[in-house]
Amino acid sequence: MADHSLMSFSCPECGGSMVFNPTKGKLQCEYCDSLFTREEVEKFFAEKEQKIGEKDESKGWGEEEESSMRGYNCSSCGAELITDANTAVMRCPYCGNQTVAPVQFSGALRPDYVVPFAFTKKQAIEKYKGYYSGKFLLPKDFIASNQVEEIQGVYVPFWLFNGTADAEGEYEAYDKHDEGNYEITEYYKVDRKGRIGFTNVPTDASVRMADDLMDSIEPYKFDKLEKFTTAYLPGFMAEKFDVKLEDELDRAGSRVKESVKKKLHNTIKHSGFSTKHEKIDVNFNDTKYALLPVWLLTTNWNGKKWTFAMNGQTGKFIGDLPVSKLKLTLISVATFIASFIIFSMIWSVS
Amino acid sequence: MFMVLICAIVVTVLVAWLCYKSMKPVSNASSADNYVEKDIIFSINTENFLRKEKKRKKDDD
Repeated sequence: MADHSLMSFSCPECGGSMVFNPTKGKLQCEYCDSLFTREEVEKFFAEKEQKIGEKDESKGWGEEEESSMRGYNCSSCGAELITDANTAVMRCPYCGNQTVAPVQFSGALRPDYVVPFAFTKKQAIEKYKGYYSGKFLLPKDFIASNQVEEIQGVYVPFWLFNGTADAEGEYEAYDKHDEGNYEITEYYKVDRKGRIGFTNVPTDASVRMADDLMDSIEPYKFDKLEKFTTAYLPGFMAEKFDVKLEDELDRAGSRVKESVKKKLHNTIKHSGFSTKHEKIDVNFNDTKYALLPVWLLTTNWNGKKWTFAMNGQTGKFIGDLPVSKLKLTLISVATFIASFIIFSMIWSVS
Repeated sequence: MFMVLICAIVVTVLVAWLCYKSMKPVSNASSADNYVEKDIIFSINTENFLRKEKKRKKDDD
C-alpha cells in the first residue's frame, strides 16, 4: 500500500497529531493517547490515498508527502535533516550546535525501507547513564557538563547490499606429530572453490556520521525491516544521504571478502596452513536505501566533540569516553608499586 | 633488580593500556559476519596428501 496517505498524522479519533511510540510499536496521539498500528492508520487514510492516485514508490516523494515534510540545515556542520511537520529540530545531532535552521524541503531519494525505533528517549537516557556509570577513569566534570536530555532519535541513511561472493583458494596445510626422536610433518594440498550469499550488508550513507561509530552499534536485525512510510518519522528526524551508493561498494565488498576469507580458512582442519592462491569476487545484485534508528548524543567537552550512539533497535550503546590523565597516572603508579613489590618477592624467593 | 624493574614497567604499561582501551570501544567493522550465509556451497572441496618430512628433534640435554 502506498504510504503517502499518512502524511498528516492526524489522529483518526480526535484529529490531534500523532508520534511513533517505540515501546508499543504504534502511532500514539499526543492529545487523546489513542494507539494505532501502521495498518490501521493506512486503512483510515485509504480514501485519501485513492484521490492521490498511484505514484512511484521507490524513487520519489509524493506531492502531499513533500508538503508535510520539513527540511533543516545545520549551518555549522552542514547536516541536512528531514522530519515531519510536527517535529521541531532545535539542535544538530551530529555536531551538537544549536544553529539548525528550517529550509525548504527538497526531495532527495526516498528511502526503500526503515527499521523502526524500539526504544524511547527515556530508555536511551537510562542506557547512556548505565554506560558511563562505574567508569573510574572518566573525568568528573565531563559527566557534570553532559547534556543527556539532548539525546536525539535520528534515522541514519544506510545502503544495504545483497549479492554473492565467488571464492577460490589453494592452500598448503600441514600436521605435525612426534615419533620417538623425530618430528614428523605431513603436508596436504587443499583446494576450495565455492559460492556464498550475503544479505543486507550495511554501510552508512552519511558523511558526518563516523563509520566506526555506526559499525560499532551493529548488528541490526534486518528481519524487522519495514517498507518505508513517513508514519515512522514523527518524533524523530532523518538525515538525507550524502554518500553515493558507488562510493560505498568497496567498503561493503571488503567486509564481505574478509568474512568469506575467514569461512574458507575455517574449513581447513589442520595444524596450520599457508596460502598459495586466493581469489574472492564479490557481486552485488541488489541494493536498498534504508533508514536505521540511532539515538545520538553529541557533546563538546574540552574543545573536542564526543559522540555517543545507541542502536535504536537493539539498545546497544557505544561511544569513546574521555580519560582523566590524573586518574590514569594514579592507576599506573599504583600498578607499578604493587607489581614491583610482587616481582621483588618472587625474585628473592627464587 | 634490573629484571624486576623491567617486569614492573611491562605490567604497568599493559594495565594502563588496557584501562585506556576500555574507555575507547569504538572501532571499524572489518567483516560482514552477521550478514553472510552460514555455509559456503562448494564446487571444489578437496585435500590431497603431498609429502612427509622427518626431522630429528634437538637434544636439549
